[in-house]
Amino acid sequence: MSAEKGMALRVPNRGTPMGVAVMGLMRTGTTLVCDLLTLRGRSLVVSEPNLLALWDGPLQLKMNRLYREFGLDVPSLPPREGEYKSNLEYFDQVILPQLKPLELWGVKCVDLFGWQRLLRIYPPQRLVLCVRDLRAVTISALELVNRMGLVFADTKRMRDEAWIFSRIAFSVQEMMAMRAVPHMVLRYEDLVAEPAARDRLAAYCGLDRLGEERLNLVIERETRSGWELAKHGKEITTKALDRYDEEPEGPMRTMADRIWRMFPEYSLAFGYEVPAPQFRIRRHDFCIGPDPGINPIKFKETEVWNWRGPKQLEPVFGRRRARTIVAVNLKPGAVLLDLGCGTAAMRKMLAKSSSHLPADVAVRAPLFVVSDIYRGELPPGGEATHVAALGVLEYVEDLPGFLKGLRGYNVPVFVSYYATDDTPKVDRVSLGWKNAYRRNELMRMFIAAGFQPAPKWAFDGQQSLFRLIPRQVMAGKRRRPRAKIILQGGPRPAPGKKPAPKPKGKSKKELEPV
Amino acid sequence: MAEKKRSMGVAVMGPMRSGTTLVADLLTVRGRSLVLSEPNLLGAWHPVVAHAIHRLVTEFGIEVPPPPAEKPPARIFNYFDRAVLPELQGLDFWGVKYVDLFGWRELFQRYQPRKLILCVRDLREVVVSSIELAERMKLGFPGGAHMRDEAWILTRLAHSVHELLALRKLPHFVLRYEDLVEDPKVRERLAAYVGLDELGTERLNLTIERDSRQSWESRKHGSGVTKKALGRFEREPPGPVRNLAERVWRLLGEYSVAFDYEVAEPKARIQGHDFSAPARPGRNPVPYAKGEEWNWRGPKQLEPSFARRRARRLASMNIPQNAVVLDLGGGLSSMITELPKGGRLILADVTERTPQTRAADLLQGKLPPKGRATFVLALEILEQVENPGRFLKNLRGYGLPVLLSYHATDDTADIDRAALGWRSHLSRSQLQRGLATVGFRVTASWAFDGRQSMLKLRPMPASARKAQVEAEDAA
Repeated sequence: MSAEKGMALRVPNRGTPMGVAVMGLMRTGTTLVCDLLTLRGRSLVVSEPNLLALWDGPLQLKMNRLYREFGLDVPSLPPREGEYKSNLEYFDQVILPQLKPLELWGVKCVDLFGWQRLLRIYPPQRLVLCVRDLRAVTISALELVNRMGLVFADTKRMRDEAWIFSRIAFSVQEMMAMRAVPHMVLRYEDLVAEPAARDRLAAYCGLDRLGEERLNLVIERETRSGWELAKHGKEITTKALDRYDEEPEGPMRTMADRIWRMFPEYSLAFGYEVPAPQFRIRRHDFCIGPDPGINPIKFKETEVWNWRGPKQLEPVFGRRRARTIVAVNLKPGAVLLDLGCGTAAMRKMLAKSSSHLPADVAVRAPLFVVSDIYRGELPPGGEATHVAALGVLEYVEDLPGFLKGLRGYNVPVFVSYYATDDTPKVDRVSLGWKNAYRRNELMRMFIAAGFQPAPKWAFDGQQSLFRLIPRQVMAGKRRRPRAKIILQGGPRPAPGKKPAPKPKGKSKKELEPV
Repeated sequence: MAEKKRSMGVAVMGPMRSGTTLVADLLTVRGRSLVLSEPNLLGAWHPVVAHAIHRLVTEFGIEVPPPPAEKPPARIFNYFDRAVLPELQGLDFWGVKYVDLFGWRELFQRYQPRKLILCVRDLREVVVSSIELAERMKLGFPGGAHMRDEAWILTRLAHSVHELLALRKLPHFVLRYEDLVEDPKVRERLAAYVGLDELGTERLNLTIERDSRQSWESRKHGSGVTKKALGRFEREPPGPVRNLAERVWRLLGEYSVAFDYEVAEPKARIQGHDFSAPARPGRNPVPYAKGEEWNWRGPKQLEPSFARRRARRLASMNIPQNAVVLDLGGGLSSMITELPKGGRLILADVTERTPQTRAADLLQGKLPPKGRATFVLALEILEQVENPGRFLKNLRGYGLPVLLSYHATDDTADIDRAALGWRSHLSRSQLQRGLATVGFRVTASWAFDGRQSMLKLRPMPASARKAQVEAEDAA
């Protein structure tokens, strides 16, 4: 819902009561609820019509499919660009008059920006708030983003872990504010597991039965509808429960955990488990303030592809920054094995001629290679010319063993790390990090693993990035280990001689800044 | 007086029993700063409060005119602004502390605080401590205008919690009682927050309190800051007070989240209650004025403490004059204000809350000796008893007339009894049979308040009892 201000819109049906508004976080079953409340000839709940945005041709094409499927009298193709200024105008003038005679009509939104305005234009008679355990929401959102390839090639927007984090945080704040409006809470866990919850939904909306078709799902892109239909069929199943429990340990599970720990108010409000006091995240820019009506997160900022996020160290934003640098340091034609990537966001950041091989601890999309990365079981390198492990090393218990595995690829590797020297005030345990190394310890480990490391220390203030070049095994005289040199403050000059001056200018090995 | 001159250095706000008086004293340093405890500045003129202000300021070392004995002003601030405030302007700062949070917005409009301290404590501890305070201070009002019973404590705490959540909108410093008494660094942070290089060591605000409070607290903690009041809830045995404490905590989860306390499991949380947290802080769902009415019926939902209040009221009309009443209900001896002329009350509880309390394991059906009692009350206790048979048998053992209240299962079919901490689940007929079996003649007022029944029990002589059992068997 991207509200456009200052534009005179022709909305003659403004003020028409909407039968039901279905609002929720992404991955809380809102589309399912839409379809349950949609009965041919009786009721239609439209999924994500984005009414407050400017005219969106592709969206209207999709909506048209829904309207026609449902049986509304609309032309096979939506109006051309320029006929209507906004989605709202078209909806209000053409669609709404046909919805009015129905028993029930409504909209569902997971993009909650500007909901107050939408509800002012069409005051809802009923409001359904769809919720789900935040940990499951996070893991499910990762899968959605990956399966749908929700990245934007123009890099104006970014659908990476940081975006998921911000979007959930933003929506949680809005949901808390929405509780002030009379509503029915519908927990995804109850919706799919308890027929009685579905009966309550029908009764709340004044329907004697619920819909059985998936009209709102089938109009979605195949990347989404095919996958969801393959998983659940046309039934309501409990297959998507326990998403968090099934997620292996690693940064993505930690992220889900972190979001849950950041919003105990949400968990309390909607009847979920609340983290113990010592695990709750406080004094964070994203936390819920004393007034739920004031969202501390700016929606527009969350949509900016390279937004730096909150002031506090948030690993998913660090990962975004690391990716950006690595992307500009890879030559066209590179094949990148991206270890531990929660999303395949890197794919769109690389040159067109480059390839991206996503690897993680769980199958987040068909292309993902799965292995127990954080326990040192690395996937095969295949055609990879480069390997990246960004936002990964901190979660590995046996880092020397992991680096040895990386060396086995025998290709240049990019790794990121928050050295303890650069993060003295950071509670590493709270971030789910399993190790804590100083800069010099890291360098020693890289060298010991057989790499020649080129560091970019604390490039974003706290995080360091390394290009690790595999060192070829020297057959001749063994050189003094570099690690010792670093530990002892560098090579000692010969007696009576001054140390050689350092070469000026940038080393070829140094990483390109962005 | 100019607005600027009326601004205060610090306001200390919190629910009762969250250490606010201690904080007021810590922030009171002779010659430098004075924090007045509960001055009720915006309240109607009350000579006791005005004299307490005068006494505190004088004790502190500032000479101010005493409150007028004749032609008193309409409100306390009329005296305070004219006689006291000008003298406080010479200090580094002055402030107030309140546990009665009604009207804080108006207070802050008149005396804008530069610093705000929100005192908090685990709600379960607050409840147990509040019961002890009310019991020790005998905070009942015999005139019938007010009531300081368990229902009032529930209401007041719920009201205060919502106000505290609203106060969070202002810049503030959260002070958890648990940290205050345990961690010297927290006290240092408190001093730094208000700009003091050291905290006060005297208990000026405590010494102006009634002796019933002051001597008890002073005896317990001495003049220092001790941890003796921690773990109150843990130490509280199962019974009505522990139930109430848990209920308040389960009802007001937003407070626990906001101030970093443990939260009840999802299933144990009380949702959709009139007193539950609203979506928006600032809209207090608990009506303050009604909470002060002695016979307010409370929320729509069944709330055992309000049921107890109603039972007490009905019982008071059925107790003979000059009776010595043994009250087996535990909790507060609020009944004392409702006894007919010449009546005396002996309170039994699961723990010896005050020196006068008779402690017994009531929930196991073990009752204290009757002593000089001539009448027995068992209100809102049988529901919590694990072995009602033993309880009733021992009740009969007193050989005294009894008033017993009970929520029979017939009248509470839609109620989750376990969630109320109830352990006995008897229907009307089961209860009647049980009472007849142990030897009581019963006159019942079933569901007198819609759900709760009051039963007048008279011990039957053994012969009559035998005849009744035979008649019942024949029937």
